[in-house]
Amino acid sequence: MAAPATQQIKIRCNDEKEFTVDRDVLERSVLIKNMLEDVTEQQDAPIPLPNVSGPVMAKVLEYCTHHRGEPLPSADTEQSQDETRKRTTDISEWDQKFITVDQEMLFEIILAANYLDIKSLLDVGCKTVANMIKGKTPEEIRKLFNIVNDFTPEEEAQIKKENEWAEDR
Amino acid sequence: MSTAILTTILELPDELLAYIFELVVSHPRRRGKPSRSAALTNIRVVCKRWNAVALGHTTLWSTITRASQLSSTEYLARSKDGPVTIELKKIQQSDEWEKVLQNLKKIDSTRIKGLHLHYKSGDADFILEPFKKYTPLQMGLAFPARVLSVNDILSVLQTQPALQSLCIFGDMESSSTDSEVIQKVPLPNLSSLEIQAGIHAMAKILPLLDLPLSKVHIHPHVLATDEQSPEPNLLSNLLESMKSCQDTSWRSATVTIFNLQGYRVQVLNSDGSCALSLEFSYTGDHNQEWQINILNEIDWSTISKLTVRQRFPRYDLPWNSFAASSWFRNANELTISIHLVPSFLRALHEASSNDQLSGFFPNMNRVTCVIPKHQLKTHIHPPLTHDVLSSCQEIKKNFDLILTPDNDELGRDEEIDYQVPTQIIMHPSNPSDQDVKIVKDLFRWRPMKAYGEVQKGEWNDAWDVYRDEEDHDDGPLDPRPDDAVAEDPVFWQ
Repeated sequence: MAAPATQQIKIRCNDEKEFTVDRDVLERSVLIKNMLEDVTEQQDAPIPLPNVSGPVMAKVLEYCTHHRGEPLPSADTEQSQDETRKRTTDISEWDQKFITVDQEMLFEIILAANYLDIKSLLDVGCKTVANMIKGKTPEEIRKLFNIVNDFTPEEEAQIKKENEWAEDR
Repeated sequence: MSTAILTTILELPDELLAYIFELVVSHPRRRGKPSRSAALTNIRVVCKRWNAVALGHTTLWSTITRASQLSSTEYLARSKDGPVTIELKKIQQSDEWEKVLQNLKKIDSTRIKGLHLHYKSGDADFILEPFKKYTPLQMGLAFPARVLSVNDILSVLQTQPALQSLCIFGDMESSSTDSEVIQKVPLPNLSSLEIQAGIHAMAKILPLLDLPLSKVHIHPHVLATDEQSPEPNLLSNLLESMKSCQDTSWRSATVTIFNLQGYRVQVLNSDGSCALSLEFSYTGDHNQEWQINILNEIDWSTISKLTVRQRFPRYDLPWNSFAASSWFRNANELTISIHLVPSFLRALHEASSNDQLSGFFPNMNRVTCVIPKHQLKTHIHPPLTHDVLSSCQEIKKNFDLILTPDNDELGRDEEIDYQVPTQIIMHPSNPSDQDVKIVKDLFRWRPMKAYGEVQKGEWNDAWDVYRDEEDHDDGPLDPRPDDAVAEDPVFWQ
């Protein structure tokens, strides 16, 4: 009965790096879970993951291993949880430690979580970015993420003016 | 730091960027922080792409928090035909209320997903009009004290079978229930129920709701309006009324009893163990007797996790009475406000000397000292002094002492939502040189000596953020010169 939990699955990243991972760890990814469900016979060939590099996959697997066994959000609960998700940007202690990485890795993890469909990891990444943005001025945000201001001063003033109107009681 | 970044925020697809924007603007409003619309403006002004993503993402515009937004067709157009949530709080004047009702008519009623209107005056019919007219999935109803009766509330709920979330604020008139037998109001989709009302009204309304046992999360804040000492069976009566409504599926309740706030009882369904949270505030010594009477009602034998909070260090808790009572004999985890730690450790020390330790946390293996968030923002220091840590050592109990910001303060989360990920774990033995240095650096501007292991090193960053918020341009918070700080003795040296 416990056989599927210990089944080992091989994956191959876009840099040819291969991982052999317990099936239940990999199934944190809805994308891979669906792929595995579609395959009826056991295959030796690794699952190709063309959008994820080896180092990023290693981080993703660290996350999936830590959270293995936790219930995956079902379609039923997802909608009701959406509101709660948005109301808080709190991140658990382990997840905070896990996501303390440089910006490049942070965005790589977010993109990988999006591609692999790992909602909880996507949340951790997006909340981290949201927390970086919160309370900052536009100039501080630009500086933080290396974004060029392509507005003319008039355009910028126009948007700010609109906020004055929105704030007006 | 200036090395080229290969993957940047610019690589994120629009839908992820929009989700991040939602997270940024949807946090509860906090003091000194931009409002939702100001936060949205800050995002839009960053660059043209961010502006386009923000304008194109309808849900960013689906929460209306200003009367002016409700009256603006341009603003409403940005949410296109999507659902909207209207959160207008503290409406004071009747003409303002009338205007809101008029403007509500401009919106297709099927689009109203959330309706939270807090009107501070007027009679029941006036207040309840929109709640009977629309059928939102989430409803927030606030009204002046004693204007509505339990029956008024039930009459609204009878028209709202699809309701998923309900908040009721205000003291209900409990004596005005009809003598006729009222049928239970079915709310099959409800997943969140928050009631802040008088305890008698609360006890009456809960059994009249037919709620889905498996999924609803009740978080009632019960306010006793009686200025006298509460009746003896107050807590058990309330718990009984909740049980009759919910069996054991309710998971969390906060009871606020005027100057003793409050009891939070959490039943952890998985293993049947209990956690209890007590918050003591604004209570003078003269009230200790009835506090203890109330605490006597609790079945302590099942409680393994205990939280004791006191937001302001007004007075010492009766730890000695607690120790003598043996209430905490089965608790193995204690979470405690930072300023209660010295008196707690002293009591622990005394219990140890008086041979009472078998009744006072004999099984404790973890003490988490939570720092109220308002104290993180001010300069109040954690009072972990030499004496405290010495007594901690003398007790020779093998537990971890953990310092962390209080992320679970009762009743304050709407205003204070600081992100302080720091946690420091202190072990009363074997601090490494590196640990000592880090902790000294962290607390060097506070009159505090501490040692241990720093689990996350972001404390300083967090303080930097606070200094920015407060516009502290006047240098470091510690007025003392670095040399003086460096000479601080660390007690184990």
